[in-house]
Amino acid sequence: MMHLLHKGFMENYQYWYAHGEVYVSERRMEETVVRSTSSASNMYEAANDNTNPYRNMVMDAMRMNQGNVSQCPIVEEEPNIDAARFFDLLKDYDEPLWDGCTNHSKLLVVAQVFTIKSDHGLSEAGYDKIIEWARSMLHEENRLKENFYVVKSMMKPLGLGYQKIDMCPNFCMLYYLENAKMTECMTCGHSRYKPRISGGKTLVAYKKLRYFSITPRLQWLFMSPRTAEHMTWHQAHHAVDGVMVHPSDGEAWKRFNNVHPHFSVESRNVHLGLCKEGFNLFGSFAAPYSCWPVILIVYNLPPGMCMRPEFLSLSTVIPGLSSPGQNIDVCLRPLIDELAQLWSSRALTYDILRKQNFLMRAALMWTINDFPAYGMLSG
Amino acid sequence: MDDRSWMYRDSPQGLWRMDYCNGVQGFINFATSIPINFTGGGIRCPCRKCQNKSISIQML
Repeated sequence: MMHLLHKGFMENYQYWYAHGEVYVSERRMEETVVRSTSSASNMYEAANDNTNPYRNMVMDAMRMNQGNVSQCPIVEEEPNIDAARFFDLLKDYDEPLWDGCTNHSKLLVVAQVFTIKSDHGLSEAGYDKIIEWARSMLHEENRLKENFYVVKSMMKPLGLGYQKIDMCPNFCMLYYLENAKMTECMTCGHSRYKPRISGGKTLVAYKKLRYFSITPRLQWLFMSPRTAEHMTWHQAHHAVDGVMVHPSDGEAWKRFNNVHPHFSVESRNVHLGLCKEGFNLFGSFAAPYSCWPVILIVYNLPPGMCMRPEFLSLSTVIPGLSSPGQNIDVCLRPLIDELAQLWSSRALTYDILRKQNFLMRAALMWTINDFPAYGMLSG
Repeated sequence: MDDRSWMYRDSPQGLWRMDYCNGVQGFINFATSIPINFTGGGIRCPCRKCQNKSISIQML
């Protein structure tokens, strides 16, 4: 008692977790609620009653843009570029495939064929052939897009793109942020670009890292009514003693929540897992080529969802020939930067379920890998 | 949960503020009311220096 009176309590000990106090999960932080009441948002909600999944897809994409816009103090403005792109998409959605067609629109058909392509691993040439064949069956004045390239640029405004970052072929450095303009590796001196072919105009880099930004993907989970309700499952469910159905029933998770009460009071904060593994793309008998995908797992979702392929989010693809070895930290830098930002400065996110904006944080709980990969990751 | 803002109001050096003293007494009543806390031989001291690492029996 004398200690306490003289020295005061240790920091962040509002919850007396080491003294048998059960953590109360119903507590909410002072909610930083920004109700969006712009007339536009009502329109989206009205339009969202329509149960067509493809229309919802466009609506989700728009909410994405709107979430970013509402950070600015002035909301009622002329449509910005994003909004203009959105209205173009909506127009595509409403435009029939040919005049008089009632059940297919321009965007709907493209999105459906796109889904078939990705579900069955159809090649780009295969896609073009099928479209060519479908067009020959259709009316002369149809609006079906002719090839994959055009379709891709049409789908681009829906968001969730990726970033290509040039890197040194020996995994020494990324040409990223402060080094974006360099043309030679500063460690090994290897040139960034391949020698120009005579007459060629564009510079081609030896190796490119593909980085899929994680923040918009997490925001998307909250902006879509079909996933937003599941994002707080980890705190809402009741654990049965002795049975572990989800990592949130485990000791590590509870300990993390106790140590970081500021993080855990907001049940919408995202718990992530990271997993990475080398893949030989061309089978074990072909020329050895190992490509290293890095995948993030969102543990907020219920056990039936968090391990489904559609909710595992690919974060980085490290191209190969060989594995990056000890230099994998170089390749993970964009991801690490973004995770650090999500932990410290948070991201304003629109929650469709509660119809409010909140500041989302994310924490990387653990990594999953085999032992060789573990050796690389820990350096 | 009750209000815990008394825990981190200005540091209690020199002056022993009344609400702080009452709060500490409340904390000790709470901690001693839970038998599992005594399994290590005494109650852990959550002060700035001990950080719950040492068991402080003279707390009582």
